[in-house]
Amino acid sequence: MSIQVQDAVADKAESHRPQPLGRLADGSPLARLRVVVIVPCYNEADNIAHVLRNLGRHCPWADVAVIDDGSRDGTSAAARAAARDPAAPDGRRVFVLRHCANLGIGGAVQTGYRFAAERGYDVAVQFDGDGQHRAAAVRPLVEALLARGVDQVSGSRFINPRGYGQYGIRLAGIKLLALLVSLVTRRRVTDPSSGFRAAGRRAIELFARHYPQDWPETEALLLLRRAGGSFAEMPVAMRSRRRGRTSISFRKGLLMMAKVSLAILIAIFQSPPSADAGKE
Amino acid sequence: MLFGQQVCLIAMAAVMLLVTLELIRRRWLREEYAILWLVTSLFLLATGVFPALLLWAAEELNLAVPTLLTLLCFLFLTGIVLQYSVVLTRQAHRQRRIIQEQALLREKLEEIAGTPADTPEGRSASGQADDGSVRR
Repeated sequence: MSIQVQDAVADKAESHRPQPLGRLADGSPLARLRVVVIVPCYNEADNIAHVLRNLGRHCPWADVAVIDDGSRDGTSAAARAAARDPAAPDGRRVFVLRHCANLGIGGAVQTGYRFAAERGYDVAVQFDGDGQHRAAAVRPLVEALLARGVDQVSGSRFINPRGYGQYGIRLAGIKLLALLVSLVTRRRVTDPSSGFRAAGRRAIELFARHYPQDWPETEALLLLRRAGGSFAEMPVAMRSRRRGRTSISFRKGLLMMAKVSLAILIAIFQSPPSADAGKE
Repeated sequence: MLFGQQVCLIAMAAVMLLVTLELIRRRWLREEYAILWLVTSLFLLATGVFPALLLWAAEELNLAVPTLLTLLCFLFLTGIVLQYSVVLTRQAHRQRRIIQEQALLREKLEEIAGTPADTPEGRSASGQADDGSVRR
């Protein structure tokens, strides 16, 4: 009996496997890919509709997985309402996944990667729910992932810096991290804390099993490198947040520097990520 | 040992024992931890009542200075704290897995059972608990 039920569930789930959207008639290799945009958000009810609208306009070929990390302002309700927007292109799905408690950014992003791994997406794009990333840059990012044949491409604000006002001290912090990461990975990294990234199948599966917790972007690079993966950067412009305050204050910035630097040192000694799921 | 010290030690041990017993009574401690803290507080109480125990232990362990026993206690406590850190880390990993798994499963369930997008505005199945707490 229970086996039958399970089968029914599996069959039904099978029918929701993502399909290559093939809506790009211009012969782009993207047409063959199943792409999901992971949008982690926490208390972004004011921004999420705007973010989803922009994604719908600029990436009608990609599904979206909104990960509501236990928000208390009805973010997932806002996301669901926006997902029902009649102006949204059909055939494209917006999934809303809600954590019943707040896990932090790392946990939210990893839920997205687990979703992508389970549903068999070819490419997963990380895209912040606060509106600082540009939907128009998603396609170039995915194209760069394909063209360069790496496991992950991240958008860097500092290759051709424009359109993002960084505080001097914050910029210095990021530069210091970039230097550290470049030394450890022996790859040139200019913006290790960028949360705007595209990951291929191998990186998706790795991150579904292992993903760091706080300020995870930098550590994720190290993790990928240690697992034998490759990454690259491409220049992007970012906006400052649309509404509300950034989650990183100056004091938190210092904490972040300390934590991430320590994580980098620890990562050097840690055993490489195993294929053993469920441990982390 | 001075009398004042002895009273102090006995009082501390008694408070610790009472707190442990109360925690056990409220079921706030799992058995293995309950036993650990019961034994620890009983040991403290015993050394308070019979200070000679400490001297005897120091002699048996070939410690020239009996206060070196505090060092041993410190090591013991450090070990416990370290073990708890490991346990906490493991629990955090598990909790993360469970919350993620729950979110993924609920999404799948909603797909199969019909989407909650059909429910009235602002009352999406997943939003209820926390939307409620906002209005509180």
